[in-house]
Amino acid sequence: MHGLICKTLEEFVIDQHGPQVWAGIRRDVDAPPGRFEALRSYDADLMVQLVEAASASLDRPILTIFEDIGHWICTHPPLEQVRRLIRFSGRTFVDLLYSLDELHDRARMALPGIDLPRFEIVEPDPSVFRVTSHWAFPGAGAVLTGCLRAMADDYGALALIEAGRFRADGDGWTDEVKVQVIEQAFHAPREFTLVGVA
Amino acid sequence: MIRIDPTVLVSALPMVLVIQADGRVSHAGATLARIAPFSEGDGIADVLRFVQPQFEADMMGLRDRMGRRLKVELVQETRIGAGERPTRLRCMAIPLADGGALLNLSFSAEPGEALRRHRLTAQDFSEIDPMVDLLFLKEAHNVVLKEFQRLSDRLELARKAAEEDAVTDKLTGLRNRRAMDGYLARLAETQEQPFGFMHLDLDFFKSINDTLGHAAGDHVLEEVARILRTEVRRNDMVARTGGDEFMLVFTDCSDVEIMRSIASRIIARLEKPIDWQGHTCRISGSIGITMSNFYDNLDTTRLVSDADRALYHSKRHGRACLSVAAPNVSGRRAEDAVRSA
Repeated sequence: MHGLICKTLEEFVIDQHGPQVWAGIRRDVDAPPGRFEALRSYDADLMVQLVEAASASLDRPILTIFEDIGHWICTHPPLEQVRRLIRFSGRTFVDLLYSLDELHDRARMALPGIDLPRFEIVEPDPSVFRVTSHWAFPGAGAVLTGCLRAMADDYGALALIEAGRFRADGDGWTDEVKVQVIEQAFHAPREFTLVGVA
Repeated sequence: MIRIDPTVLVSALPMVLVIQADGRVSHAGATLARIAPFSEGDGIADVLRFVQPQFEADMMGLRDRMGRRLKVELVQETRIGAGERPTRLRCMAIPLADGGALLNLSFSAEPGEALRRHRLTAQDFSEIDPMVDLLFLKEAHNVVLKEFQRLSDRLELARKAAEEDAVTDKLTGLRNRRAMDGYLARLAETQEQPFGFMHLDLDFFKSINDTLGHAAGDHVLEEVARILRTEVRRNDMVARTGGDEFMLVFTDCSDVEIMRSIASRIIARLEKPIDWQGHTCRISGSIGITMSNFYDNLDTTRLVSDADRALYHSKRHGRACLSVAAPNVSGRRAEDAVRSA
């Protein structure tokens, strides 16, 4: 699994719960010493164990943690770059939803080797969207839910976002997120310029 | 024949210029108009400068170069700061049926500066223009590069620490045998300066370990290291090369008498009782000395083994003394042992 994903979990737990909690989780699964490196690759099983140990240690369901991580990567100030990269996806929140099918390839273009979930979007009526995800691991929809809640806010949109259940799908997992856009321009969006500060 | 309402055209292609057969601009895309405000009826030369290739900005010049990639600047570009160059754009002209031309412009490979200068946003580009993706990629690329830089900094620190560990004796903080070997090899290679070499072996150290334990032994070794450190200069080298063995290199030294007096002083200082948790530890040291200028061809293995032989000569002569090696090369006497004071 790509180090960037492992490092995200690590940074999230350390930022939200402190380094001792993370050290405890690592001990629980006998993880090798040191911190994850964003540009290396790690054993996927280790990651699954860490996620389960984090859930036990924090006493929170895995999907809730994933939702929080999704929200955190879009709002945590040191990760401003992530928010910016997502904002390149479109001018409005609906544009962002429309571009989710490109996200997997966009991420690859930026960082070859990273395997993000694939998303498909259907729009049963003009303000309701269903985003289906496919990933090697369960929980892509939960991360997306947290992410979209943060980004709706970023774009100034008012939207209801609900994660559905996940189920096995071939050699991976699938789930569905329902997004109802109530108002695209509900409040002022956060600033975004195409050319960031150098 | 395709007919397009010009107002639709300029909104779909925000970087387009429509020029009539008489060489006057009739329509300009909204983004171009933001960069350089046009007036309807301006001539080509009022609007564009052809910089590569350079040619007269008129219909004749343009007609000969339809379909080619041209580089242009906008004559009336705004917001150019002092000392800055005008934005250079790519341009391709397409002939129109009425004798005019349609010029489609785009930014160069590095559009950042122009976008910043004119405060352009995603709204200023066509919905399907990959410009925004280009900017995304550029920014993502920077993020990845920065991460690589941080990774490489961390690796460099780790490498330095590992290197330091590899040449340091953990207990005393002195260099270790590996470091001493490397140091001697470098000295032998350059042969720039004469140096003195000393091999020290502690006397009666084993009995401290045996009677008071290893903690006491370690304390004594640390104390020895402290003494040796104060007996050398900045550029000299002290290493703990074995359990109670030390090697010292005195750079820029060709006088064996100086070496003798340093060795005597070291022995005298080692013989001062060392206190450990109320116990008195007494040790001494035997020393073997050799000098780089004893040899016509400096061979570090030979140097070390000569010093070692001198050291054991000291040991055989009752310990707590120093001996100077006498390599046969220059016809010196075998070994002269000097009992320390």
